[in-house]
Amino acid sequence: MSSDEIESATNRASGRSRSLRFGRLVGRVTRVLRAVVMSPVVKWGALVSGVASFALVFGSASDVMYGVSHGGNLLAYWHIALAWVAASALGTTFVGSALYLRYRGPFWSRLAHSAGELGFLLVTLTLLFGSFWGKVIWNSYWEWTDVRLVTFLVVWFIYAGYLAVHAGTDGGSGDRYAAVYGVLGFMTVPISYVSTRLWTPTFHETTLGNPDVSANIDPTTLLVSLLAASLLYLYLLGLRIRLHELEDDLAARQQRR
Amino acid sequence: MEPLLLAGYTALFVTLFGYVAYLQRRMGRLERRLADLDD
Repeated sequence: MSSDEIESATNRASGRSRSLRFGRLVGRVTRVLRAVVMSPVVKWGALVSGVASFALVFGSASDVMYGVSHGGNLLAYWHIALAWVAASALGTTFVGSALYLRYRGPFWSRLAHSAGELGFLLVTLTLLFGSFWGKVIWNSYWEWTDVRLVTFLVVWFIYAGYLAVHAGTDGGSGDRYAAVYGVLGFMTVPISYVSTRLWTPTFHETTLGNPDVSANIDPTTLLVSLLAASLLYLYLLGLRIRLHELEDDLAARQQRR
Repeated sequence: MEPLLLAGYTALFVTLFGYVAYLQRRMGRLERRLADLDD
């Protein structure tokens, strides 16, 4: 055996060993993630922080935003929180889909689909809250000229498509199609996020890091609302994954009989 | 309370509680079917 062949064989063995180690790490991450989303701490944390968020929103937060005084401005806290968890859910679908394509573990497929379903629900609620708040602050439920609104609607359609692809295909190869769609479809999410920086916004001004815009959003109320929405998302994700596990368990047992 | 505020948060509660109820009903049904298979 020549020295080149020995070197090539050594590299292959080293690559396999790295892949095995990474596979074990992914396995551990899977177990930790499953334990986290199904933990009672998440469930009760969501309840407690949810109550605290509503107490702050309706108790102490100011209803003056962007210079407009209106009770409807209090929708902003959960509009932002819902948009954050919607993006997290769609990000989870992306990661779950990519890991499913790489490792084929059923957990990743369940995670991707569960987060995709939740993400679609959360994007719908974000659009609804945004539309109601838009009526207060812009005197319009919808503006086709606003890049953030239109790109976020595109995200909604993309994930409606993801759910249709998942529902319309069988297990195995169907999961692969859905995973490819989950990876490619995620591209629309960062585009929607940076749309107000890429193109001139007509209504959605860039608020973070923009000294010219003062939204007057109470940071404590916003942080508690973000925490509540995040824990609620994790709780729902745990329930949805558990449902997938039961469905797969039932299908496997019926096949064995 | 402002009608839009009421409509927004009502939609949030109805959707989330509805979704949790839907998931739990399906889980209950699947658990019963699995228990039947065990018997």
